[in-house]
Amino acid sequence: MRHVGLKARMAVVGSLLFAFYAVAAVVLLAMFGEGVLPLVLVGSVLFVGVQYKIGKWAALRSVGAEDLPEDKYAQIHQQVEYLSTDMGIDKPRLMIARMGVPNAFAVGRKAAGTVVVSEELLRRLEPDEVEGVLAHELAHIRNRDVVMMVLGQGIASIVAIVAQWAVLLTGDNDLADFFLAIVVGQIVQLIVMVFVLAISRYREYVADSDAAAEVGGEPLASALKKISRGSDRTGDSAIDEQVSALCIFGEERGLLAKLFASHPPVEKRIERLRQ
Amino acid sequence: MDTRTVLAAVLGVGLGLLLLLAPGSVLTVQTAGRLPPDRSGEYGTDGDGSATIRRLVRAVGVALVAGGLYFGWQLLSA
Repeated sequence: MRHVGLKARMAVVGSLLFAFYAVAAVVLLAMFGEGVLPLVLVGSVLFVGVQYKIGKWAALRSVGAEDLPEDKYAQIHQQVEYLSTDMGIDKPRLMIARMGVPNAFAVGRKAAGTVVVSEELLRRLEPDEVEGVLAHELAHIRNRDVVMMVLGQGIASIVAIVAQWAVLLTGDNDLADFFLAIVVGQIVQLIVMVFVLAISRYREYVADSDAAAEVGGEPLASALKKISRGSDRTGDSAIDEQVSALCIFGEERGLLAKLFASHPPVEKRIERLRQ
Repeated sequence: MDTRTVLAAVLGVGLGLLLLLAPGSVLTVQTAGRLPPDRSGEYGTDGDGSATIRRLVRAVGVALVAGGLYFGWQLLSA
């Protein structure tokens, strides 16, 4: 049985998210009557579906991703072809973008995935390290991590909206009620997202271990090490304004940063990959 | 004392301080699942967003603290 730890954690977090959603649905039913149940269910599915579609489109557009030319990057296409077959998924669309930093990410689902790599990543890493990164991203697609995050954020947003309206509709509609509704909505979303982000951090470890099973742990560990070392220096990323605020060892390394991080610390990932 | 106004004051200041002290964390929460977590940062990290967006988050934080203090002042002067 694959990823028993992940399945157990997903059962716990999934139950919690369902409980949050159920409470929100009950509040809506109490406010508007049982007749709104079909509307609530259809609306929830539509809400998450639109978030998924817009998210994928926005992510690719925001970095200006273009198709990775097969003639120029034949080796990468071959690596992904091989890894995809081995992992039992369709070969995802491969794209390249200039992001100002070494980076790669996956969007989409198992049958319609896209992996984007940055030019800076391809310049800085050796071919075997790039393969480690690609294996990690393919593992995200195989494990449906993107879909799970969209679902988690969707539930958090729905619960937050319901909390907001519950505060508004039970108040006197004065200024304090409007203010309180906004604040409560944001706080509720933060609370639900703590659980979603906790599972996201674990999913990173799982994707790392899947990548290690395919190509060994050292290439990905070496890639992470190289990039985290590079973030200490002001290199080619200095030209990008966005990058100045992005360093791994930046200002927010306290408890809050750990609680709301979607990724575990790079040092821990490297340590696990090398174990 | 109006409970809702007390809550507006306390929670407003609390959330505002969070936005002021940890804008990157708030951005991670808002963008997770909407944009891939790796999108704006270096590989294997959370992107903290651009300096402009962080300033915007901090500005919202200031507004929330100001709002919370206003409702607090209203309570005390009532």
